[in-house]
Amino acid sequence: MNAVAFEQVRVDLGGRTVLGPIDLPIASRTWTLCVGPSGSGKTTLLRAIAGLVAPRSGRVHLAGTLASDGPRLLVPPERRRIGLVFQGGGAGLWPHMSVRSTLEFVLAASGIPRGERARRCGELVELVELRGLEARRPGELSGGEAQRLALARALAHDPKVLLLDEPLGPLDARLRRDLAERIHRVHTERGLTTLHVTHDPDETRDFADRCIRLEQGRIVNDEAA
Amino acid sequence: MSRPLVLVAVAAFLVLGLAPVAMMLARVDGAQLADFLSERSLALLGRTALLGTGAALVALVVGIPFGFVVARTDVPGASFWRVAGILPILLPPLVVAMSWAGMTTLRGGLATTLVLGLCAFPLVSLYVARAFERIDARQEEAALLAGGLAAAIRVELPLVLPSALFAACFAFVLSVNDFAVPDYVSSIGPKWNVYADEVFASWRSAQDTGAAVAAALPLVLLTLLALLPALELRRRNLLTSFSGDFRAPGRLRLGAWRWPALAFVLAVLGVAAFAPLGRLMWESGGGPRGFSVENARAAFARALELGRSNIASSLLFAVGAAAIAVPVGFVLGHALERLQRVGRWLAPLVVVPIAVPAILFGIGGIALWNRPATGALYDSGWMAVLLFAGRLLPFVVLAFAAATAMLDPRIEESARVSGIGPTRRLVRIVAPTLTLAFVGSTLLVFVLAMRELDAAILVPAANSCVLFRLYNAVHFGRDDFVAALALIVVFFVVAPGLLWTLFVGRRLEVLP
Repeated sequence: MNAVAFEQVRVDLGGRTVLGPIDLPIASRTWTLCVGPSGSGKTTLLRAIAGLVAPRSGRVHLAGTLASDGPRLLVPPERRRIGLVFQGGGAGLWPHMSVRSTLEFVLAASGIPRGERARRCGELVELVELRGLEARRPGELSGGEAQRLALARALAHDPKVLLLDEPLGPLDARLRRDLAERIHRVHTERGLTTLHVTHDPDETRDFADRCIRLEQGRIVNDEAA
Repeated sequence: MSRPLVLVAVAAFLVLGLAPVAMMLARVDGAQLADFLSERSLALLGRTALLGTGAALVALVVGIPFGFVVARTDVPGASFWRVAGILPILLPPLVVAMSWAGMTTLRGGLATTLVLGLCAFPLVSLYVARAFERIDARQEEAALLAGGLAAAIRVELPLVLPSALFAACFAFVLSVNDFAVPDYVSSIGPKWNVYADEVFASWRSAQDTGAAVAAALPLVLLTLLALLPALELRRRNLLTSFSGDFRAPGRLRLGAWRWPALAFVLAVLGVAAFAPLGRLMWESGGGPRGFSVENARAAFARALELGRSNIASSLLFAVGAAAIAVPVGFVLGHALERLQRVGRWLAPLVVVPIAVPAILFGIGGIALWNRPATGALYDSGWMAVLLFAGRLLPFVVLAFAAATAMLDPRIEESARVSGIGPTRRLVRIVAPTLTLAFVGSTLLVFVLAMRELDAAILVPAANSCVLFRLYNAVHFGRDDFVAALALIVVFFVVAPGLLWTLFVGRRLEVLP
């Protein structure tokens, strides 16, 4: 089954078409690379999957369920079970929450009983190697640590689809490689469907099953990686 | 967007902010509109427009250079002056007018315009300072490299001007709606009446609210004419706000010009705040009869004794108004910003409570609440609280909308995709990141409610506020008691902001 399927999806922003219309099926448990120049619609593609932008037309299916039908959001973002890591060093992290409270907050929201939250939080902290930094807030983390927290947060509510919006961009080469391998390990262990948007396909080409290229909102190339 | 919370907030806004305006308009009958184009009405309209334009010009001429100097230059004590520059807007304009009347022979339209312009100039300087601070250092450096300071100013002025003009529109609105200053200045010199005090006079003479409201409708239109461009300027101003990788600009070195710049800052604050406060201090100690510390001590003791209950009432009204307006304003301000397309159309509705003169808003409040079913509320202090909360809600809504606009939307989006519901997002994610806006808005409502006279003057329950006591005392003769009471009012208005600045020091998000 496809984890994500776009059916003639078109997204307009500010009166201009920035994506589509495109058809894009993404098979479950695969790693798809999405490359393309700035402004080609890569981030919009992720946001349409997450439900953060409503398409002007077309349909978005998630695991066989119709999630968006044109501008109507049938499944709101908070119920799509999607993990999203934003572009930039820890962008979108909650500045007033420590590593621990960030993760526990998401775990609580996804209905994890109080007793189990600490254990799950510990696992996530271990997974992204933030042990010892649980009390720190985003402003007290380095760029790499902040991105690892963003990854842990994206995984906390046990998503089925992981969307990565250039998560490695601001890091140095060693950290990039390290975080990429970490994400791939999680992808494999949890059986995730991952869509990785990047400027630099070499970052994770080794892990990818498929590579699509967007230009001016259209898919101009789609091949096995 | 938390639908239940938004619905509750909208309902509160409808009852507190819009219902008094609707009730006010319902009092007018068609025949009363006939007087609109009479020679007298047109003369009033002309004087009122002149007052508003003049005050806005004074605020612009003083506020733009003041904001630039304290925010972007190395003038000695720049950070201190940036905070101290707020002082004139904290002072009740009536208090400033009282002290200026004692110090100069200026009267009539010029005195009214200058007092209201100087009281409103911090609005312009604050917006200008904030706009200058939000220009990315790299933009400025590129302009400096290309053509020196002249090029930098050419690049930066268009970025700052919308903020300045927006604030000037607000200065216009505050000035044309002020009744206490023109009323007071007219009482001590040649009569120079404008719409706001004419409305009060017509209500006082005939107790005919319909006629008073009808007479003021051109003023409402004038205010709306100023507010609509202001909202558009505000939107543009927010659109040009700084982005993620913003680099703050450094202070420009003035060299030998530091000292003239300091003299300018001191002169402005001297005229707008220090001289009036000094004059009041002098008067409280006996003034022309001979100043002594003993006299001042006795005057303060008397003012505290006689004004204690009024001060307590004002404090309760102000705290109560803030307790209601801030949470409602938070939910509405956030919704207004996040629902951008809808918000753009709703923004004019949000400013309606301040588009009508405060005195008419009070009349609307009377019409709304003075009925058998709500008689107990109307007679209690709650009436003043609800009145002030409704009147001041627009400032809070716009302040939170501006603070939300500065908030990275990804902070909320990440919560959304993490499965966090709308109410929890608002309470647990958005609210804590807007802490400074909460503190700032609370202080803003507190200050404005403490210095509110116009909305309170016709409402019996609100007559126990200290500004009303002061207004009455001024008209029954000026003495050391009046000066001491005025200074006590100023103390209570300034104290919370002063304590925050001294003990916390973080800059508050308070600008609508």
